Amino acid sequence: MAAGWCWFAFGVPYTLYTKEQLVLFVADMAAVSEYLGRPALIASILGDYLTQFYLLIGGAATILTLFMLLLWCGARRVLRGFGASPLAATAWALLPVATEVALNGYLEYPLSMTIASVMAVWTLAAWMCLREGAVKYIVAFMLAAVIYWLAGAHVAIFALGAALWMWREQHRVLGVLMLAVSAVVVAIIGVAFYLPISQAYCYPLIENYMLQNCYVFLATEAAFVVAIVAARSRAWLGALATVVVAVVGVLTIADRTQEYWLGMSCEAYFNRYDRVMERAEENWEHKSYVASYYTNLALAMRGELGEHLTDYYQPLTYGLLLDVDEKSGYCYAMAAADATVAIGDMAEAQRATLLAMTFTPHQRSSRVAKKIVDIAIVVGNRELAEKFLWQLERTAMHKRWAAKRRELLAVGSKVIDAEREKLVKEDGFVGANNWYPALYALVEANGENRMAVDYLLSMHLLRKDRERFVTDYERYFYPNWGSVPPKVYQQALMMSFDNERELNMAIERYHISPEVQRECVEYSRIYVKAQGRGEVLQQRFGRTYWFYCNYAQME
Amino acid sequence: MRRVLYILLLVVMVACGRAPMGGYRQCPSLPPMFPDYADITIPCNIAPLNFEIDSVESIEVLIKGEQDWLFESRGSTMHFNERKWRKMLSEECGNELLIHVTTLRNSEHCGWRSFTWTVSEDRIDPYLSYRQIEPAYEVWNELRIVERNVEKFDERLLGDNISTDNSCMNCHTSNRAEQPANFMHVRGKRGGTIYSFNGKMRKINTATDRTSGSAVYGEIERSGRYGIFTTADIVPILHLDANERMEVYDRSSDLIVIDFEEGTVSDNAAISGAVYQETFPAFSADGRTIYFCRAVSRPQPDSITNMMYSLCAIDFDPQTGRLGSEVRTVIDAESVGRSFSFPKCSPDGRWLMVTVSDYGTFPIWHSETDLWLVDLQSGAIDTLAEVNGRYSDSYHSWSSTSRWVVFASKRDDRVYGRPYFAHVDSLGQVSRPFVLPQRDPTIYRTTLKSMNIPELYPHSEIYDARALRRVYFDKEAEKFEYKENN
Repeated sequence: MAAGWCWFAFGVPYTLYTKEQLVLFVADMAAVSEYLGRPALIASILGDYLTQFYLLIGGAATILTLFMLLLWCGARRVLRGFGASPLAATAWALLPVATEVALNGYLEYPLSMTIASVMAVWTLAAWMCLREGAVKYIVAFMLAAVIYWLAGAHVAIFALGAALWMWREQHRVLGVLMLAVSAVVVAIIGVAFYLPISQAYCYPLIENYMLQNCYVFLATEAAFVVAIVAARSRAWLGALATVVVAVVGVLTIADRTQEYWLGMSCEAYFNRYDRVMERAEENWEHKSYVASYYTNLALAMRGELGEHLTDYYQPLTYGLLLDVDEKSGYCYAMAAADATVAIGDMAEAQRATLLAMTFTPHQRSSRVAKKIVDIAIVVGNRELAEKFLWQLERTAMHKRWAAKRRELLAVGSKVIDAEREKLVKEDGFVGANNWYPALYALVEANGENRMAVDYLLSMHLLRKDRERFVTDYERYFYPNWGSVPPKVYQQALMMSFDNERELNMAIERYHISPEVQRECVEYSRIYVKAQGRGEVLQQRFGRTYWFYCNYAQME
Repeated sequence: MRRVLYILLLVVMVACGRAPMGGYRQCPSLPPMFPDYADITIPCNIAPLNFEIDSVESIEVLIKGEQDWLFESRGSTMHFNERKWRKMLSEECGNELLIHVTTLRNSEHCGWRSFTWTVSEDRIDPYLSYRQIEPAYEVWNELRIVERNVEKFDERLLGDNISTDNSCMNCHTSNRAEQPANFMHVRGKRGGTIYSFNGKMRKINTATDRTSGSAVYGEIERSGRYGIFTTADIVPILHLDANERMEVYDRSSDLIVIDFEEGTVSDNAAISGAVYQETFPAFSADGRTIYFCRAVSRPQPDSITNMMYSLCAIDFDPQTGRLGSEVRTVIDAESVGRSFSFPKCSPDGRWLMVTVSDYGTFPIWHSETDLWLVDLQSGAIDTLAEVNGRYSDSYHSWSSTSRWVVFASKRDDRVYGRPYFAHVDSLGQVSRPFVLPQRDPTIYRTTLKSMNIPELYPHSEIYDARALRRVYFDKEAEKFEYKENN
């Protein structure tokens, strides 16, 4: 259990933080009554309620470990019922726990599934205590329906356990019938809730999301059956099997890159951009668009985008502003609004947030709700802000945030006024994810919007469009901040003039530092000498704009 | 001992009873109820207008009509007793009721300013269909077509896209006839236009080689045989201004006539071609005229703000399905400076309600969108200043009695559409609208779905979501043929 706690707390903390962001549990009867429209009623309500506390440090680890403990106790009791010795039951009961621990590493494996497994195991344990007879077997069939309605797909644990019990008691036909009836019951109840059959068998896991095969949850059922069948063998075998399953499961499921970029996303959500920058360097290994995106956002917020743009991994323009559509997934959409809000592009930010809300597994997200409130306050949509504040005020973990925003909504603030200054003044039309019109509209609306100017210039640079860069540098950057040009901009400017006379004029006009001039000359010398072989330049110039411009391409 | 028990029992009874009245205050304002149901006209067969008043411990509603009707509710939501509510409406039908609301909060009773409910003798059609969808621009995830019985709180699903390959579904529309003909479009690989008539459900592929795509917006005339629809090549784009959000324009759009009996799709030069864009067709009450919106075709999106759709009309023969050859302009968009969408004629033939916006053909996200009422006898226009809200009032539908309209309004928060009802009297006076009552009105605060394309009709739809699923997967779409309409 301690290992499980450590795995949750230190192995996949950001995956678990993100799960909290995918839930918006509103403690109101009308909101809770929406759960009545789907099976897994209790597991879903309890799961979503408790997932809120994943936001606390160690909250997810503690909650999950407690449920693992309950699962282990229940499984142990069942195995004892099947005749296992205390020691063997203790060891083999860890096997399904190990699979559940591993499965919780999936972003889209909800707490409700683990709760469902606990409910199913304990119901089985209780059912096994009933006196043998016809009533016991009739009750088993009825319980299958009740468990599915209240707990969902993990009813399979109960059905398999009950079938094995019947088989053991020589009621083999009944055992087979138990499985068949359970399968039919799930289908019938699923259809009653308008679920397609394939979805009914895995609810509350949602089909067609990032979790490619949602029937992966059956690993717990398989582990449980193996534990029952093998529980009379030696205890050490059970312990060994548990360790193997846990290690293989964790290694299979844990996605280091995903955990990395979810970490960047979460730290940004927690407004800890210093931590974003601390982790930015690792992106040379992970090559994540989202990590590049948050690195750029953190740099831009510090006013250092032009200084350090090429110090970090840049997947062309894909890491500058995130393209969002129905295929990009909710994690991208959730992240996408952060930069657009920061630069003042509230139209695109609204689109990203509503898409994110739409494509989360249950079309609810506390993180997106908060972002919608912030956007609505800036654009002056008071009623929409109030709608989501009303909901957030009824959550366990966001009500204080909501109270502060409500205060802000009432009295206003200079920060809000400053954000409003950034807004586009003249309307126009633009295709989705077409960034240039919006960026131009922002810099035209407010020439002091340094972030928008940096994003516009960086967009040119990452597209290797030096001509537009020079034009827009001259027009939007130079008048306000031209006296202290950032390093990458200097490098790009040095690269943008062909003849010597123009270059000399540019050096003087744009205050290109002697160091950048020297480096540029050196880069050119080595480039010519190496006949364009990048590996020669990479060590020394790999993080310059010159190197990016000459060698960057999508892998 | 017994005496002690009696005393204890008395103490318990007092403790468990109502909180003692600490004081009474008369508040000069209307009760802060949600939804706002003050000073409205309601049909005599509407479900209880349950409402919520934030942070109160109990609510008492005294309704004064020919009799006094007292309703009480614990907590912050007023749940009217349904049986008593129905009795009250039937006995007070045609009367103006005075509503006194008293709330209890922190041991203090507060009596709020009274307001009125006028109980109209005009019944509203009992069934309302609407689409539940996330208000997420050009895409969707889960959407449902819901049929609600407005006399009660019962709902059933007519369509749920989770069971039809996540396909889009839209435009559930009824002709509101005694023998009703309804249609709905389900997109996707196995989709089609679902046409229900005479107890039968058909799935129809309305796309032909000669027309541009499948049927979109439209109506079916009273006999159920003919339908008039738009076919359009729709393109979504975004606004740069955060308050404008989204625009949708048609690269091209024409009208088609569908003969459901013969299985044909037809058009003629007057309602198709590249010179004009035609859309949002609707039959007149007698079926002899088709109203629609038309604009001169311009390059879009550059000229999108110049796309002004006029309200036009063309003759139609409901016996033969033949269209006239001449288009008449009923209201010229340029002359009034507004663009028209969704014309809908009242079943008695007297009125035409239409949506107006500043430009274009997608008023739903236009916050300036309003409803206008046109008197088809005199041609007078009522801009319904008292009816329209701050934000988009758009898609609407008449009750079969012509005395009620339902329309989708985003007046509450600019983003989430809600069905609002309003009474239209014989002189065309439209009452203050009210939102669809809910068993728990808080649902409007908690739901993240828009309720759009509201449609009133007198008879329940013949199918539900399960039947729709079977038709979607198991039935091949009937392929309709093109036919000249001259």
